[in-house]
Amino acid sequence: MSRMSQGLLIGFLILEIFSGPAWAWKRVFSLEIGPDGTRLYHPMSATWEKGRFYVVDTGNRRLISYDANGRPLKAVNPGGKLRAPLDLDFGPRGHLWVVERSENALLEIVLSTRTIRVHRLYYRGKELFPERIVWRKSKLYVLDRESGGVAFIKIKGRELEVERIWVPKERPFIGFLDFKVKDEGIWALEKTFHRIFYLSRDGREEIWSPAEGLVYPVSLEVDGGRIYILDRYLRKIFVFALKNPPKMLFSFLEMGWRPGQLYLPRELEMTPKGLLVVDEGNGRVELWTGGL
Amino acid sequence: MRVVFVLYFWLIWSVSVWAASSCFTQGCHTREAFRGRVEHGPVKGDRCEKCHLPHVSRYSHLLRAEIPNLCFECHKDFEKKLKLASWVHLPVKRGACGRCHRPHAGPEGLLTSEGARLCFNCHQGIKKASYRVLHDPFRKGQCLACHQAHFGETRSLVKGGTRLCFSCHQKKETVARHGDYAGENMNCLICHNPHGSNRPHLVRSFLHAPYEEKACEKCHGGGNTGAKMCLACHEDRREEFLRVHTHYMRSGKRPFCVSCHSPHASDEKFLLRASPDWLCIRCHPEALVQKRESLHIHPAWEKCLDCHEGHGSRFAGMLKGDANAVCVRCHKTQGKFTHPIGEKVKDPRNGQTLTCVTCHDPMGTPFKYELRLSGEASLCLECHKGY
Repeated sequence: MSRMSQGLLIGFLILEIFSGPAWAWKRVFSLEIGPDGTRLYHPMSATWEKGRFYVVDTGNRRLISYDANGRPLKAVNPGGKLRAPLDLDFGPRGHLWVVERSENALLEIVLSTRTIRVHRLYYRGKELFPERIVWRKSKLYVLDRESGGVAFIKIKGRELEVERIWVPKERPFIGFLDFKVKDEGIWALEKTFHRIFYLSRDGREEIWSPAEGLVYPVSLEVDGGRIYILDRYLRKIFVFALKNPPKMLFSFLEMGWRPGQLYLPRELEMTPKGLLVVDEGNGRVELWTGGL
Repeated sequence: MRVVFVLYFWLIWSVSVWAASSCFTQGCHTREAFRGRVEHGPVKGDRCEKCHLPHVSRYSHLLRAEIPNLCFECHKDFEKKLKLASWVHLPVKRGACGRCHRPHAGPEGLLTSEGARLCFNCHQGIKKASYRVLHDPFRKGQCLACHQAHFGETRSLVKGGTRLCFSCHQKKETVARHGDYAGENMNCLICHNPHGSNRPHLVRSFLHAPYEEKACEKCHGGGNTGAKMCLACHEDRREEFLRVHTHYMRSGKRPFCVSCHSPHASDEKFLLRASPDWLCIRCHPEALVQKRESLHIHPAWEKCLDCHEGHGSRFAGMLKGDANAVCVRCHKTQGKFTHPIGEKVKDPRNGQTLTCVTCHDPMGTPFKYELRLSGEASLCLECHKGY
């Protein structure tokens, strides 16, 4: 009898550990204050580069860098050019690239010479409408609201040249809300229909069924055999097994205004330090680690 | 063994017959009260026990189960289809079969009242509309000629979109009348009001100037595609889209603008394709989800564009201003005399500026005044821990 009780107890403990993996997610810190002590206001994006976090503090029209422990280092608005910055990433030669909505352009900021070049993107006579950018292996990927797809761009001299735009063949197609570039291919989240599209390196296109239970997904991340989807309405991150149709494993986070809670979340970004969650409403970016 | 089975089934059958008979034979219920032109299957066979228990029940009318589960016990196919439907009529969604159907007997479909009268019990606004020209099915009160009663592919539960129109209006002839730009897949409802209009041919009230002037080439002949088709004239609108939060969307050959605006005719100001609460919900079902989960919603919930920008905004939620400025336009008193709000007052939970929406959520909450938490205590205690 006692052996049976012991077995039950162990079983219960195992179940507790593995059925509640949300426990395993731990908030490391929040990036919420600039070097001058002011709070972030409507941050829209964040990334990690060479041992530092970078945040686009859109409401305050500045970019802020933080060290690996979340201490603010520097806040800049190069040349006063930032009026509605949306996203940033580091390109070749360490240049900083920013999506500037007010100009419908990409700003290439050369930190060493403190110069800024403005790039407007065109493809087949149409001007693109950039929303998010990713630099990967000397190639720039831009989420374009004009086509709803992802533009593949290369540097030609000092200029950018749009090679092609990936717009899925599937119809109706509403347009992507977010995308992530990985070694194996590109993952993108479609608005309204909540479908996930995948484009492999060899050009194979897959449509994954919409992940069930979502109301207003705004961002996705793919890492470690899992898909993470951020729902702005439910204020949760849903974690799915990376298979089609995506099988929900668990969700974590909840609505609220305190640290560790979400109000108007906007973006997920996986970094070597953990998962960055950008919360526009609460004016902070939080780093989460763990997750069994 | 066989004898036992036969006896068993006979017993069940005889008890059910006895139960039904007894409803009418003990002088409590008269058979006539349950008779009508069309009778519900169980009523026809006097099988009251299919839906009712004779002695006690936890449900009203001594029902055997809750509505609609009781109905689904027989109408299994309907339940299956319902689960797959894109849009469901609200009474169906709420399982209120009795809103439209009688349980025992009545006219065709066991409806509670006949024809459009039943629909107008809820859809008062449509009933009141006074049009000079009426669409024939609407004039005759034949709502079900065009709409599905339970569920459909669109929110208006219209049967089959434009294909429906062609079931009465000759396709070739109708398309040919619309000139070079029309196609068989055109959406008639963009320009025509299917109920009625004050214009001939049921054309909607507000007209786009080039359409009114019959200057089709202004939009169709300029060689522009996508958003440029519209922005070529409406250049001033472009700047509105160059904001942090924007409705700039994917354009194909057609400009994305026509997702919300009708390029020809509309019954809405700004040539919107539908009233904002219908139009916006197509892409923002979360607003509808929140409304349905709430007990208290802002009285202007349906007038999205009173508070939200249609094209672009630098404020979260595409508000027309910061979350104080938007509210104070109407709530003038609260703008002057209220809990401290504004730039100098910070929310201790996140350090952000305290605004009206810190405590209220006009899109809907379970609490009075659209408070985010109960105003009795829990909302205040979020910040005022010491009290």
